[in-house]
Order: sequence, then C-alpha cells, then structure tokens
Amino acid sequence: MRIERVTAHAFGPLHDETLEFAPGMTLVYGRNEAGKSSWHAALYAGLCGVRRAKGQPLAEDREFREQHKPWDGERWETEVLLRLEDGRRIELRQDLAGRVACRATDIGLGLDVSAEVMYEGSPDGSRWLGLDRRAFLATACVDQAELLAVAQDPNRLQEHMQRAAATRGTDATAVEAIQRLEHVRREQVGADTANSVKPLRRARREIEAAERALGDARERHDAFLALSASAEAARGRAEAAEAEARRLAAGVADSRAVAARARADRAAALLTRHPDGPPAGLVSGDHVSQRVAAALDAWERRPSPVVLGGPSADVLQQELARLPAEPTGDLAPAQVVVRAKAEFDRRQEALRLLDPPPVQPTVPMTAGLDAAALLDLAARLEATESTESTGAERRATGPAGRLLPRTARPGGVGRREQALWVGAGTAAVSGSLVLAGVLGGALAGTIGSAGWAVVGLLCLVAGLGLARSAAHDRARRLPGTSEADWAATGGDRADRETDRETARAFAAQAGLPTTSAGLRELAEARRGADASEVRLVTWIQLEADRRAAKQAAESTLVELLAARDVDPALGPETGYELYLANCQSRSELARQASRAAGLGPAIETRRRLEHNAAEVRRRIETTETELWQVAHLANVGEVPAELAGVVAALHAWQSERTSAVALAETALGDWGELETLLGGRTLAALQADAERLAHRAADLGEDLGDSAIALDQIGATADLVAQGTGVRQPTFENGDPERHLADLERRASTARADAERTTGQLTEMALGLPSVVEAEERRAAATAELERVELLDRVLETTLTLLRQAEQRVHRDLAPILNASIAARLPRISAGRYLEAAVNPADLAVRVKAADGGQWRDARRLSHGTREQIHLLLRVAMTEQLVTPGEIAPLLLDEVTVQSDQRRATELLDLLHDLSRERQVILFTHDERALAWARQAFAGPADRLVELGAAGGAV
Amino acid sequence: MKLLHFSDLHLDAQFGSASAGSARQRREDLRTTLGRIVDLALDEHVDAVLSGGDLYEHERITPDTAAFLRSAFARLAPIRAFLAPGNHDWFGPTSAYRQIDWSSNVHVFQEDRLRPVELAPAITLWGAAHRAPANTDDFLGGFRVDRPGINLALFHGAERGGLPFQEQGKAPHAPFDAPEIERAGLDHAFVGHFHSPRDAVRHTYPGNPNPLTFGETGQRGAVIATIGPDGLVDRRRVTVAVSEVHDLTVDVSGAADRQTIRDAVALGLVGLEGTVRLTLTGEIEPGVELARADIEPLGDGLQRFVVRLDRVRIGYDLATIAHEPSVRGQFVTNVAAQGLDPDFERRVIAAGLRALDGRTDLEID
Repeated sequence: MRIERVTAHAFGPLHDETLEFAPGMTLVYGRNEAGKSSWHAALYAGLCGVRRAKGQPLAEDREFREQHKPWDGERWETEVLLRLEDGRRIELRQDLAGRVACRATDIGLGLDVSAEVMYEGSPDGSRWLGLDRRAFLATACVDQAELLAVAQDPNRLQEHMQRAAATRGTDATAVEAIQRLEHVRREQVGADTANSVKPLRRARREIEAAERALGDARERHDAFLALSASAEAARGRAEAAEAEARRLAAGVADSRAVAARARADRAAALLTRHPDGPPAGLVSGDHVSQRVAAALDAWERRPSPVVLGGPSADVLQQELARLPAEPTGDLAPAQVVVRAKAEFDRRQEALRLLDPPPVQPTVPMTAGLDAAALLDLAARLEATESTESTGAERRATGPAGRLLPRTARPGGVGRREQALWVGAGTAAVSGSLVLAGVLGGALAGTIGSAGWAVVGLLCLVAGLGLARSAAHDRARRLPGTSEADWAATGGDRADRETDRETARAFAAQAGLPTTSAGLRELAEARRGADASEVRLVTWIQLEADRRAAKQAAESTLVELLAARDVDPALGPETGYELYLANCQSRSELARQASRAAGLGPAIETRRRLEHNAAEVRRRIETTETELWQVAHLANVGEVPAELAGVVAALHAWQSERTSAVALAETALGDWGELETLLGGRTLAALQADAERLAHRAADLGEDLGDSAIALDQIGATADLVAQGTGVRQPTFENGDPERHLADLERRASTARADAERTTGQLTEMALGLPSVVEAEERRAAATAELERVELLDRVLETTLTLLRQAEQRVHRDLAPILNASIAARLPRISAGRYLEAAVNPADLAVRVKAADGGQWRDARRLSHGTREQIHLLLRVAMTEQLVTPGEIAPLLLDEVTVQSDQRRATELLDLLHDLSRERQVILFTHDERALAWARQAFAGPADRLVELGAAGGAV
Repeated sequence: MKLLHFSDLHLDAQFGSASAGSARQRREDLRTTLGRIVDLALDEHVDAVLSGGDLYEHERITPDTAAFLRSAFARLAPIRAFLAPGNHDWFGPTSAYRQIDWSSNVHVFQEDRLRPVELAPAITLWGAAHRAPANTDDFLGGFRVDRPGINLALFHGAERGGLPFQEQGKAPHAPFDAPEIERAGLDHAFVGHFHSPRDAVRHTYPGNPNPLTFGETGQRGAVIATIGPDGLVDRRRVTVAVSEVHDLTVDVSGAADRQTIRDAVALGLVGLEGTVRLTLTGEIEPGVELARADIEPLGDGLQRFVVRLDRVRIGYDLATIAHEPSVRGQFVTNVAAQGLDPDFERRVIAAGLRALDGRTDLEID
C-alpha cells in the first residue's frame, strides 16, 4: 500500500487542503502550529476511519474527536487516495462526524469496495493490510514519544516487540496478559490451602459450614418431628387414660345412681304395700301340713301292685319231685360207633358193587411155548421161504431166532418141566371146577359159598402159575439163542436152511403147526388165553379182598355194639338200630333229669317274688289308710268315698295352705327388705340420695355419649346383680370401683404429665429450631459460589495454558524473522561495531554481537541511537510480519528525530530513507535538521519534501 | 355442590438461587396464597375445599408453618376441608398432618387406598394419601366404587398422558391413566402433582397456585368446581398467586458500552414487580465492560432480580483474530483446537482476549 494523497475537507484547522506523498519517502516539514499533527491525524483518520457503534464513544474516540474535530462547522471529513499492491487505486472518503457518508471506491472500476474493509462501523483502509485501525496505529505509526521511550528505557525495546507480537501492538503483551490472568486467578480464585482467605478456600469453607449447618438443621428437624410424634402419642395416651377414667367414673356414678334410684323406688313400693307396719306371720311347717304332705308324698311315691305269672313255688316243688334220675350210657351215638357203622356200610357196598367174574379162558396146546416163542419159531420158518433174506428180515428174525434152539430136541421136555405142567394142569382143572361151583352157587344166591370160591380161585391161580413157569422154563432152555451163535451161523444161506429145518422138525415134534402162519395163529390164540387168564385171576383176588374187608368191618362194629350192651347176636344192622334207639331214650331221660338243677333256684326266686308282692300290697294298703286318716285330720270337708277323690281333696287343701304361707312369707320378706333398704333412714333421705347421685352421674356422663358406661372395657367388670333384697347394686368382679377409678386417674395424671413434659420439650425445641430450608438454601448458595469459583479457576487455568502456548509459538516463529531484519542492516546502522543480532524466542530479547571480540551484548545496553534504529528495524520487521502477505504497510512517523542529536538524527533519517526503498515512509517533523537532510538526500521522484505553511497547507 | 380445588402449594419450599431474604419472602407469599384460597372459598360459599397434596414439604416444615396450617383451615369452618397428602407431604408417624391438632372441619385422608367420605347425600368423595415419599402405586389400580350416586376422587398422582407437558424431571408418583377414572366408576378426579394446569374431561390439575420457579405458564391457581346432578364438572380457574415472577429478555445486540445496556434493561423493568429473571441476549462489542454488578442495582426495587448474562455474545471476530500472526491470533486458534464445551470455550476466549486487551474483568457470566 502506498498513500498518494490525503485531503482534509474539514479536519481540525484544515479545510479542503491536500497533501500528496511520494511513493518512497515523504518528509512533511512545518514549524510548530503548522498543522503537522493535524495532517498526521487526518492521514490516519482518512485511512482508517473511526469506529461507529451504539452508545457512548470510547474515551480514546472522544479524545480524538475533541482534538481533531473542525473548530467550526458540522463537517468532519477526509479523503485519502491510495494504491494497493494489486494495482487498485482506492479513494477512501471518511465522514468522521456522521460516520454515514463513508465510502471506499475503486476509482479504476468505480466500484464501492467499502465492504472489503468495514470495521467497527466504518471503512478501515488498514484492513487491506490485514490490520485494523488500532493495529495500524500501533505498528505503522511511530511517534516521538515512542522513540523517546525506547531511548530512555532500554526495556521498552523488548516490550514493544512483545506487545506487537501479542496484540499487534494494540494492547498488552502476552506477558502482561498472563500476569493479569495469574493475578486474577490469585485474587478471584486463590489457593486451596488451609490458611487462604481467597474465594476458592472461602467457598469451600462456606460449603463445609453450610453442610454442617444443614446436617444439624436436618438432624434437629428430624428430632423435632420424632419428638412431635412422641408428644402426639403422649397426648393420645393421656387423653385415652383420662377418657377411660372419665368413662369409669361416669359408669360407676351411673350405676350407683341407678342403684340408689332403684333402692328408693323399691323402698317406696314396699312402704306402699305395707303401710300399716310389719305383717303377721303364718307358720308353713305345721304338723297337719307335714302329715298331709307326707301322706301325699307317700301316695305319690307308692309302689305299683305286683302281679306274678307262671306256676307258684309249690307247683314247681311238686314238679321237681316228679323228675327221673340221671340215666347211664351213651346219650347220643358215639362217634366211634357211627364211624364203624359207616365203614361197615362202605365195605358192604363195595362188595355189592363188584362186577361179575370174567369167563374162564380156553388154553390152546402149544407144547409149552408161549406166544413169543411161537412167533419166533414162525419167523425162522419164514426166513427160508423167501429166496433172499434182507438185512431187515435178519434184524426181524435175529432176536426172535435167539429164542430157538440150534439143535432142536422135539419132545425133549425135562422132568421138572413135565412136573410143572402136570401140576399146573391139575391145579387149573381143580380150580376151574371149584370156581365153576362157586360161581354157580353165587349166582344161585347161596350164602356160604365164599370159602369155596376162594379155594377154587387159589387152585386156578396156582395152576396157571405153574403152567407159565413151565413155559418160561422151557423157553429158557432153548439152544442157540446167543448173538455169538447167530453170528457164527448168520449170513450163510445154508445155515439158514438148516435152521428152518430144525425149526420145522421142532414144531412137528411138539405137535405144533409147521407153517409160519399156523404158528402165528396159535401164538395169537395163546396170547388171548393168557390175557383172559390174567383178568380172571385179578377179579378173584379183588373179590377176596373186598369180602375180607367187609368181614373185618362187621366184626369191629359188632364188638363196639357189644361193648354198649347190644347183643352181638343181633348182627351189625339190627344191633346198630337198637343202639340208636337206646341213645335216644337215654337222652330224653337225661333232659328231664337235668331240669332238677335249675328248678331249685327258680323255686327260691319265686318264693321271694311272692314275698315282695305281698309287701307291696301291704304298703299300698298302709298309704291308703294314711290318706283316709289325714283327710279326716286335715278336715278337708266331706271325705270322698273314692280314694282318688281323697287325694284330690288333699291336694287342693295343700295348695290353699301353701299360698297362704307364701303370702305371709312375702309380706315378712318385704318388711325385712324395707328395713334393710332404709337402714334406719327415711324414704325421703333415700330419694334425696338417689337424686344427688343421678345429678352427679349426669354431670360425669356429659359429652361421653354412648361411651359413658363401658365398665367391661376397663378390666373391672361391673355386674349389676340382683341382691337378696331385690335391689340392683353395682358390684365389681375385680374389686372396688373406687380403687379402679383411683388407679385410672393416677395413670391419666401420669400420662398427662408426660404429655405436658414432652410438649414443653417440643415447644422449647421449636424455639431454637433452625430452618432446614434456609440451611438448604445456604448450602445451595455455597455450592453455586464454589461452582462459580471452580469454573473460573478452570477457565483461567485453561486460558493461561493456551495463552502461554500461543506466546511460545508466536515468539518461536517471530524470532528468526526479527533476527533477519536486524541482521541485514545492523553493520551499517552500528557503523560496523556489531555484525550479528539474535532475538530470543522466549521473550523476544535482542542481543547483538560485537565486531571486536565477538561478544554478545544485550541490545538494551546499546547507545540510544542504535536502540532507536534497531527499534525501527524491529518495528518494520514486525509490521511485515503482521500485514497481509503481498501488501506492504507504509510507515508514518511523527517527530522521531527531535530528541536526537545531529548524528543520531542523521543516522535515523538515513535508515528511514533506506527503508523507503521497500515501503512508503512519511515523516512529519518540525526538525530543521531533518529539513536540511531532506534537501540534500532527496534527489528523485521517489522522494518528496513538503513544507507546510502557517495555515497548514503545503508550500 | 361447589368445591374449591387446589394443590401443590409447597409451603416451606426451597428457593435455592434466591438470596436469604428473597427466599423467605417467597415462602411468606406461599402462606399468603393459602390465605387467599381460604378467602376465596369463603367468598364463593363453597361446600368443601379439596387439597390435592404437596400442601407443604415434610422435610422442611417448621412448627410455625404447622401452626399456620391449622389456623388457616380452621378459618374455613364450617366449610369442610379434605386434605390428600402427596409425595412431598406424605402421611406418616412424624408428618405434620398427624401432629397438627386440626379443627373439626378438616379431614385428612390417611390410607394409601381410596376411602369414601360422604360430601352430600349421593355424593361421595374418595380420597387417599401417599404414605411414603416415593414408590406409591396407582390408587386407581383395581379400584371400583361400591355405591351409586356421584363419585369423586381426590389424590396426588401423575396422569401418564400429562407427563410430557410437565416440567422436566417430574417423577411419576402414583401414576395412573386417565381412562382408569371412568373404569373405576368415578365421575371426576381432583388431582395434584403436576404444576402445569390441566383440565381434562374427567380429571383436573389446578397447578401450583403461587409461582415456584421461573418459566411457569398457564393459568394456575384455585379451581372452583361445580358438580352437576349428572356428575359433570364445571370448572372456573381463579388466580390466587401472590408472587409475581417475570421472565424478561433484553436484546443488547450492538451495544458498545455498558450504559446502553443498562438503559435497555431499565426500560424493560418498567412496570414489573416481584421477582424478575433478566436474560440479556445479543452480541455486544468486545470492548464493553459488562458485569452482573453493573446490572443488578437496576432491580433494587424488586423482590428478587436474577440476571443472566451467559447468553450475551461478545462480538469478537474470532475468524479474523485467528488469522492474526500474533499471540492473540494463535491463542484463539489454540482454543478452537481444544474442542472445549462451547460455554467453557466462550469463557476461555473472553478471558484470554480481555487479558490481552489489558482488562481485568476476566470472569465471564
């Protein structure tokens, strides 16, 4: 940015005057009162304008207004023409008075570009530099005082840098800001230590105190509520006890009042009933009454007449005399006899039920061979008849063949065998004959043939046995029956033939058929005869067994009967019938004889009954006699003829007598009761007592309503019982009501005292009871205060942290830039005494390195002039750092050489001139040395010398 | 039958952010409000007064308040008063309801189930009490009236459908659903708990009769309910509040100095009495030195004056400042990079920039 001209249309003493500036360095010279300061201010105001906002202006704005507002007229306007680095030419018109007609115009395009630089209500040309009017003033404007301060106070050099780095020079340095934050934190937060009196600690103490107060308030409030409950309960107990006492008192009083009233009423009634004094008495227990009562009582309790049925004792005695003696012998059939009879009947029936005897068999002649031997022989004959013998046939014939002799001896029967056969035949024939006889006899019904039948049967059996023994014996003696024999001969046809011939020869010799068929038929016949023989023998044996058993049973029965006086000759059947009849007879006799034992006591009992009946009759007669007598004695009037009439008359007499006695006794009782009730007092006195008690009861029962009398609820049940006098008196099962009442009143008094004591405590506590809600509010306020302080502490802490970080960052970035700016010009401005410079990033402190010796020196220890020049260099460097990249800020200076000596002034002007090659430099001064310097130094169009006239205009 | 219904008076309530004197005055206002309710009942010749709970706060009630309650309701006699304890004034062994020696015209419901009281022939009032400060079940759950005529109910409970319309954090004590009222055979339920007034078909919330906090809307107060022969209820709301609580918002956008703001606030306060909560909004110039202490004296004539400055934005051009190649710009950049809570960030930036501006008013409201 380069300012081409400024026009003060109305500004301080200036009116429509213009200053034009060179692009390099312009020195505006004027004597005092020539308007330099006004032009300087007009240039600043024309470029940056003034802030426009609601309300009162700031003090600095007011001061600026007071200094530079035109002395007359309402207008206060400036106009600045400037050129930006981007080539645009801008005309800035500032209406400083109304701050309305302010405008920035791109004169090349004729466009209003005010919006680009509007700041605090008006166009601010420094905004194109990235600054604002305050920052521009702080960075691009250098006045005499600033340089003087740097010259006089070495520390200002560093401070200016820090301020510019922190706020572009407008306000505090970062260090100051940090110190301010720390100070505020110290004062408005403070340390949280025990002895601190700062807000944080105070807030904590207050919240602790508030918590304690709240805890105490709540505790006491709870205690108060609890005591309230206790007081309420105590009052309840007292009221209940008092009510109970009142109820009892009322109940007792009411009961006594009722009793007294009843007593008085009763006494009055009795007096009314017996107005003439005590009644005459009547003896209820006189002799006649007693005798009548006794007679009637005896009559009422008389026994009923006894009527006896059945035979008399005498008749029973005669009957006893007629009873038979006890018989001897069995009264009932003995079981042993009955069982013997049953056995006999069973044996006899078994014999009767036996089948007829089988037919006697006809035994064929077999030469002593049995059926098996015959079949064996038939098999041997068959073997030769077939052309070829199979294995099966050999097996069939093999075993049978073993029964046949190898060498047959026809007719070769031994003597023993022959004897057996003779014996057998004899026995069999004999037996058959005997048996035939027996059977014929039996069939004819001849009794006594049994023995013969047995003999015959035995003979037959013996014969058959002998025959069988003979056959068996013969068979045992047949040769060639062993397996070895057969093996020796078997399997050879010739041998078989020989065997057949042997067998045929044997058969022929024995008179047997010689063919196998004939032998087989004979064998079958022999087998049938053998079976019939066996059946016959079996029957004979069975018949004999049954007959013997029957005979044994008969003998046993007959013997038993004989032992019981039954003649054996009667035989079993008849004897047994007789025995049964005898038993029955004896039983009847025994039954009759047995009545004698019970008849004796019956006779005795009968005799007693007959005696009692007689006694009853006597007593009834006596009672009846007494009734008659007392009827006469009591003088019941005409004695009825019938006994029932006498009794009725006596009852009537007795009833009348009882009523009379009762009336007399009641009257006496009334009088006695009256005397008791009065107790020596008068009826009027009793009535007065009743009235008094009634009033008292009414008083006590007032307001109690239905609960007035509930004596049963107090443990002393009042029972209004009827006394002997008839008056209802209150009595208490559990003792004296007055004692109960006293107990209750004592309890009520204790309860009331307790309630009053608790209520007193409650009242006392209420007086000093802290407010819970106020304690809560105090705690809430303390909490809010602590939260506020803690929040402020956090805010300040965070702010400090972030601000320190920002300071370090900016200083770190800024230090090399400042360093480079100084270093480039330091040898020239220090006339070669210092070659290098260094800026400390921590605090932006500047050090320079001496050419001789190379020592680093603090810039604050340099000469005034050097410090001034370094300050300007730093200011320029800082300005470069702060403005928008691409733009170059002009440097406006006011009287910066006035306080310098010639050399310093020249050096400073030379530096500015040097700087004007890079940026526009405008210097306002009244220093003639500067004027002289300009006249010599300015040589080209880049520089311009303006000399102000007396009216402030350029000349 | 004409009834006066109110609830949620909250005698001895806490006013946490108020000064001690102001809070005390607010509590006095609550008592005065009850006095106005009693006056209203007498003037309207109502047949009965119904209190729907939270008449006082059990944990804070003072003996003096207990005595005041007794005398206040005794003044109603012979008009009967029916009190249904709520969750803040629950009925228990130590509760004031039990300790106060009520006049005979006062009936306190003591059971945690609806119990009948005959208001008039064929008109029954069913009432119930909270017996604990929390966890009270629905009084209407499983309940059914057992008699003909008009049946009314009085209890402290939260109608679930109304919860969204109540203040935040309102706990649903003894919650019930509106249809339960009809299902129970009740013609109308007079209930308390919700501080926002609500006139439903079969139930009524009168709302807290005297302001308890800021931001309360709707016509709160006492309800004069006339019961028709058909059980229908005609309601009329009467304001009985003593305290005036105002929410005043003043936009101070563009103000460049403190006096401008003070003037705007003073103008806004004209005609206001009681308690005022002032909220300043808008963006002010960074250079304005505004502190609570500068504004609070303007409310000296008020019962209570609460000033909120936290909604005033300081007109820093942070985007521009952040681009400054200076400590200030770097500081703003650093703060923005922290991702702080917006309010905390606002305070940090203001503190830092003010410190760099050379100011000492570094605490930001």
